[in-house]
Amino acid sequence: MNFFEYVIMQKAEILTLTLRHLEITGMSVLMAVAIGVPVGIMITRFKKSAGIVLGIANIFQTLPSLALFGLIIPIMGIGYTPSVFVLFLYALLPIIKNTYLGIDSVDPAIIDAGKGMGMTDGQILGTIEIPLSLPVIMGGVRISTVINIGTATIAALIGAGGLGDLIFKGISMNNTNMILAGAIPTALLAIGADYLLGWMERRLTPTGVSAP
Amino acid sequence: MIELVDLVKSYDGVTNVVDGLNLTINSGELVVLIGSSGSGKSTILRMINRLNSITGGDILIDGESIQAKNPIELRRGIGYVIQKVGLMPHMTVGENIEMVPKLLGWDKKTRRKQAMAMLARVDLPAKEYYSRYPGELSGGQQQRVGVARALAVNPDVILMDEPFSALDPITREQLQQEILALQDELHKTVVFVTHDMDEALKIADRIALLKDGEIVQYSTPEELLRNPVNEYVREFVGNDRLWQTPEFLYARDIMRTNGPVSA
Ligand SMILES: Nc1ncnc2c1ncn2[C@@H]1O[C@H](COP(=O)(O)OP(=O)(O)OP(=O)(O)O)[C@@H](O)[C@H]1O
Ligand SMILES: [Mg+2]
Repeated sequence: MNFFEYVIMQKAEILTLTLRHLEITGMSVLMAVAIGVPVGIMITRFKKSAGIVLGIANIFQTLPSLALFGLIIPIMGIGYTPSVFVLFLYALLPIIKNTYLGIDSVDPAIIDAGKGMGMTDGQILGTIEIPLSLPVIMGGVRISTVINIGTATIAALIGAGGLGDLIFKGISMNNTNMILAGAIPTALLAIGADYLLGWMERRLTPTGVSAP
Repeated sequence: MIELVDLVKSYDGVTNVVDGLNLTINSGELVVLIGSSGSGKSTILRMINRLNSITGGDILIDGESIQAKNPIELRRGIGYVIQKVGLMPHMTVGENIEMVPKLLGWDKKTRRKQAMAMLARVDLPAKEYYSRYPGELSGGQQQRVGVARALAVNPDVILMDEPFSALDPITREQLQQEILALQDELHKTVVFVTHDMDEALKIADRIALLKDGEIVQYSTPEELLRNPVNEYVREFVGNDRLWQTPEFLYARDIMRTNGPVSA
């Protein structure tokens, strides 16, 4: 049986696992955005905390993913929730960091002008700082998503499901078709997400501002 | 009228950057604050719209302390132009000018009409520039938009911090003329910071020469040229200018319609 015959035969299974893969990646990145963007904004306001917060987020990023999945088992067990949680920790740093850098790089003269015209802090954030740093923030989301599509395969080891299932099962059964049926869609997902989010990044660059 | 009363500013609680300063700026008057770098010009200006807090003394606008006012509302009623222009790069010229009107809740049609009028006022073809982005404008054009934005809600008080110092001499000259023309028409109360003595002499009704947060001399340009109170002023004005004084005064007196009368 060649690879294409295998894919056609297993297409329902592959599709289900691909959707599952997208789900755990998407959920973890969404959570990281929900937490990471506000945290990133906050640490631009309290500069002294920036080093500490980025340092902590950096630790999660530095730990080997396999070790982090191993560490989480005694605490949260196995399955969907601990997998998404670990992936969430991974996604956090690029998002916090890019939010921080994006907002921090807005020209102080522009903010000063806004303040001088009588804008409130909220108006400055909403109409100046966020629109101007949106492409940079999206860049962080893109990095997180691409990393997590890869890392999510490892989450299969603690029962997350997803395309990692095929890869690890294929390895233990010495079934090359099965390995490729997991690996190739994973690679395509990563490339596709990178392209799509890169396109969004450019779309979100405000007119009048050249791309960074 | 703006009154600075025994005004003190200290950033670090040790040295006074502004040190017990008294200055009265009459309504409709264009006063230039001039002084060497670090003499406290920007600090004073930014205290008037409360971007900087007041350490001691008080600032009164039309007799009322600005410290009793809400800083956000205060700023919406004061035009503010800075050297770096500070136009929002992601908003069109029109949107930039309409910012404060929008903050004040003006409706769209009124806003647009006002923006068009302000563009015309600073000599930019309104239709052509309304939808452009600041990045597509020259430095001089950007600063014209900056002035238009400051005028948008017709504030009585306008603060300008070295608005023209980043421009080339010819453009600077044009904008100085523009300010004089606008001022002849609108009679705003303007506080204008510069460290260019030529600019000060050209546009000011009165000049306040600052040194280390204190006023060395506060007088009309003529008076400053004719009777510098001390060596520091004499040096700052420049001996060559003093020497040229008679000619200078002659030209000014012919050109100005409402300036002070000279002998
Ligand atoms: N935010 C700040 N924190 C601490 N010190 C400041 C701050 N802003 C200004 N200073 C200090 O206050 C003094 C006056 O500064 P200011 O900016 O008012 O001077 P200036 O006359 O506008 O100078 P320039 O012509 O260079 O713009 C300087 O010694 C400056 O270092
Ligand atoms: Mg200054």
